[in-house]
Amino acid sequence: MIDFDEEIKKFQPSLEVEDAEDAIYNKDMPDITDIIGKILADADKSNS
Amino acid sequence: MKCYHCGTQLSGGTTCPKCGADVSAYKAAVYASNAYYNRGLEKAQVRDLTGAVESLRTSLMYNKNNIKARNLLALIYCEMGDVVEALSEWVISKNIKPEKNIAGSYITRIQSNQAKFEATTQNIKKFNVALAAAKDGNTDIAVIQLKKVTTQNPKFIKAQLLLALLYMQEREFGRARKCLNTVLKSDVNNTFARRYLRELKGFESSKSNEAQDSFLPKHRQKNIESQPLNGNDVIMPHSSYKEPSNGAITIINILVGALIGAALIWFLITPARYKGLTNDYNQSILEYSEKLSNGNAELNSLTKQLQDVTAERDALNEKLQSISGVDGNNKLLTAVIDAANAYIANEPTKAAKYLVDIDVSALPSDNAKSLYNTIAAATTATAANELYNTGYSNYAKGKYSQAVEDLTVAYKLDSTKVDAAYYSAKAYVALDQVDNAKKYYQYIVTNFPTSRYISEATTYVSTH
Repeated sequence: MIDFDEEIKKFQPSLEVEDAEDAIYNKDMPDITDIIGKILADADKSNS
Repeated sequence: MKCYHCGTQLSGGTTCPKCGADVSAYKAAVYASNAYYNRGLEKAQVRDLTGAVESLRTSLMYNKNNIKARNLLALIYCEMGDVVEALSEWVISKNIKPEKNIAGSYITRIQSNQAKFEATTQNIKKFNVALAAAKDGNTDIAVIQLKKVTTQNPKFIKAQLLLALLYMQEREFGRARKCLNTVLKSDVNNTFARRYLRELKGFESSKSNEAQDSFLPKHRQKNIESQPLNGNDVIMPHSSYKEPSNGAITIINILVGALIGAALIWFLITPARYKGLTNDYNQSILEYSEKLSNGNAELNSLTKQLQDVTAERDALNEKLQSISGVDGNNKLLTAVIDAANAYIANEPTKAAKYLVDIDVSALPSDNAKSLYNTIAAATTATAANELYNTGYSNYAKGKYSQAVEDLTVAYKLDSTKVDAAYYSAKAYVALDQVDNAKKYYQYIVTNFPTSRYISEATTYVSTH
């Protein structure tokens, strides 16, 4: 049987207009290409 | 594909042709991102929105600059009711690639319909309020809010799921199923909806097993109408009306109805219409009568004005005539000139006769007045005596008409000459001109109360 309290915790509020700006800025997180680029850049530095 | 290090367009090799950087891992990440995008697109095409969102998020995790993946993710968010989330993704997409990006047209389309966007964002706020109420245990408030939200936007997946969950908690399984089916129409593989439906089926089967195992007589399974009423249910009263089975009765009823309708028109509507027409006619007559009466009044007024103007014109003409001669010369001046000529010709009586009818104040110039006064001073007394003597002589001879002419002029020239007045009156009496005779007797009564003729004058005035 569904545990209502547990289920309802899974629901998250929808993004509102007032919070849209923060959400846009916070989404500028590094992806894998960023990470790969950083790793390779660090490796080049250590080799040189 | 461009080099992550220098931005140069990459070829088929594993190194950048310009900067020489190793791009093999980078290329693998981009390929993976594209592969997840393709998977997300396939899922979206079969309306597996939840699966598509997962794939597209993974795609963006590999390569956040995958514009197609981001735009598709935003579109799916929009379809699921998360419009602000969608707008955020499109804004990021547009920021990454400002030119030739379909995200721009989506943003423009949303901005062009502000009213709808406002309504949608209000709907999202209501969902958040409902979610907070549900978490606080205020199920009734949450259900009311969610009903509003889902009525306005049935494709709002999260709202439908939450409402279904609340219905399940309230053991309103029929309503919960309806919400879940709505979700699955939009998102065929929604994980939550599938799981809730499975739970729902399990509960219903266990419920039916309980009913079968019971010793009590079996009742028909209650449908949704047998459940307790809430605010949204409408009670339809049972009608006792039955359609007549005989066709002839129906025709008779129709004919009777038509007759009643015709009678109503004849007795109620037609008289009212005629009455309205009569009233309009009377009103028109009244208006025309009023206009006619106003016209007559105006005509009378204009006629009166015309009469006044005509009378004024006649008076002015008369005045002009009294001043000017027939030939247009000044009559008064002519008389003065004639008097002057007679005076020069040593004819004082003739000169005085010219002056006798002149009103000295009406003379147009001071020179004329001066001339008048000079001639009058020199001739009046002499002329008065001469005319009196002539007049009296004629009176004595019985020539009353000639006597009257001289005697009246003599009295006009010398108003102290009571004898002239007396014999003028006597001559008029002889001529049987009572009014003129009375006028001269009245002069005696008024101006000469001590004269010897007073008793005769008084007697004549009083007796005539």
